[in-house]
Amino acid sequence: MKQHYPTLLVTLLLLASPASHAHKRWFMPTDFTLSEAETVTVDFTASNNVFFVDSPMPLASVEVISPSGVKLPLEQPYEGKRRSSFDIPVAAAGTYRVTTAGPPMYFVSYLLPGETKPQGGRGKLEQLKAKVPMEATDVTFSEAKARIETFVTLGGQTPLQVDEKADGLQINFGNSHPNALYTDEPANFAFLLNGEPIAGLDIAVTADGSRYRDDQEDRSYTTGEDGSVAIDWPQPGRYLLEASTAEPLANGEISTRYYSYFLTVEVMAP
Amino acid sequence: MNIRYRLTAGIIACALLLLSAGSKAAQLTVNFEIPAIDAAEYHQPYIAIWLADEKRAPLAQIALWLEQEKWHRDLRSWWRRGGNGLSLPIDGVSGATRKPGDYTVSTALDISPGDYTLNIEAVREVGGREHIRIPFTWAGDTLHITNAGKSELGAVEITLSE
Repeated sequence: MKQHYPTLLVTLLLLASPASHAHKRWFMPTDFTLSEAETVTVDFTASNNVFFVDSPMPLASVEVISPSGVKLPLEQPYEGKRRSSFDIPVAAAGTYRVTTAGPPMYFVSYLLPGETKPQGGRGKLEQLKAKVPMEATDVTFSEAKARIETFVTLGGQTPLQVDEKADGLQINFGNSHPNALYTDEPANFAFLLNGEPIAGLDIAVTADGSRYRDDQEDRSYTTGEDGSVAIDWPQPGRYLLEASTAEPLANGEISTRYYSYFLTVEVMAP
Repeated sequence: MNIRYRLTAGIIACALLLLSAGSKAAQLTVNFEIPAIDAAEYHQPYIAIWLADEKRAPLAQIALWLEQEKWHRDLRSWWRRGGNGLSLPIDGVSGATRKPGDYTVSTALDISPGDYTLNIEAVREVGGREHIRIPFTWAGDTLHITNAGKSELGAVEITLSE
């Protein structure tokens, strides 16, 4: 049985980590497809209630990239109690990418003498290190990198490029543009981790309106050897696609690195 | 091989190519009805009529009766199949929306015998949407097909003649 212990340990780590219990995070634009230049308002929230806003997400790491690749400022930024939001004055034809490119989040877990319940915290690594008491034992740090995205297109879609230098999870959209998804054809996406295809990545796809059904009705997929996956859309509407993976690190002060990816899309009837 | 011979051969090759492609002029006429709809709030429908090949790629825009750009995307089949990349208006194709009634649009096409689909899509603000696909095989002679919508479109009749 001894050979099973490492697996068990990893599983326990995953279960114990705050990162594995992280809420779903998503952008929700007022429009995904436009035929006239106009302003799109985007909500940014952490919410497991698809698609109802719940908690605000910080706007500091949000990037809006124009079809020609220019980073745009967020207009009318607002961080409220239940959501953050901002405007994008969509002016140029093509696809705008809304994404997060912030620094990683760090988590710490430790035991205090005489206590069995671990203490935890999250924030910047240096802050966490300073916060851990001298007498603490079983100190473990973990790192979480999340990419949260959505896309808005005015007129025809712009082909989306892969950023091979980007770390974390991303999608190579290939010929399946996120603003041209229909119920009569599956989307062929390819997932990359740190620029390399990732096989065996678990993906969950949740349709809008989970509040109004008894079951989450998540659809599960796993990427193939080349990182590719064909996702079908049973009905038109808005969907949240979520992928996450963890990488145990053998050396150094960080024990585990978590990667997550969230994509909000709209699927049309044919 | 002298230059004159080469030129002649080239001209013959071009002529043969044209003949084998068999592309020729055809006159397409579409008669269709915008039905009167008893609605609390009635808006005239946006209409798109276009011809597509057997792979649904658009070949010709025949009629685009539109108003505000903002709602063009709601003709969602047309928008998906090329509408989103068009520069509008198009002379002889674009026009304003019309009230209920019978209409005729006609256009000259340069097409080869083969398989095509005539598409007619209508969408109405605070109303419904309907898309009629009329697939047909053109042998190069006169073709006459009738069809009918169920909600936003009435009778549709297409005639294709040499």
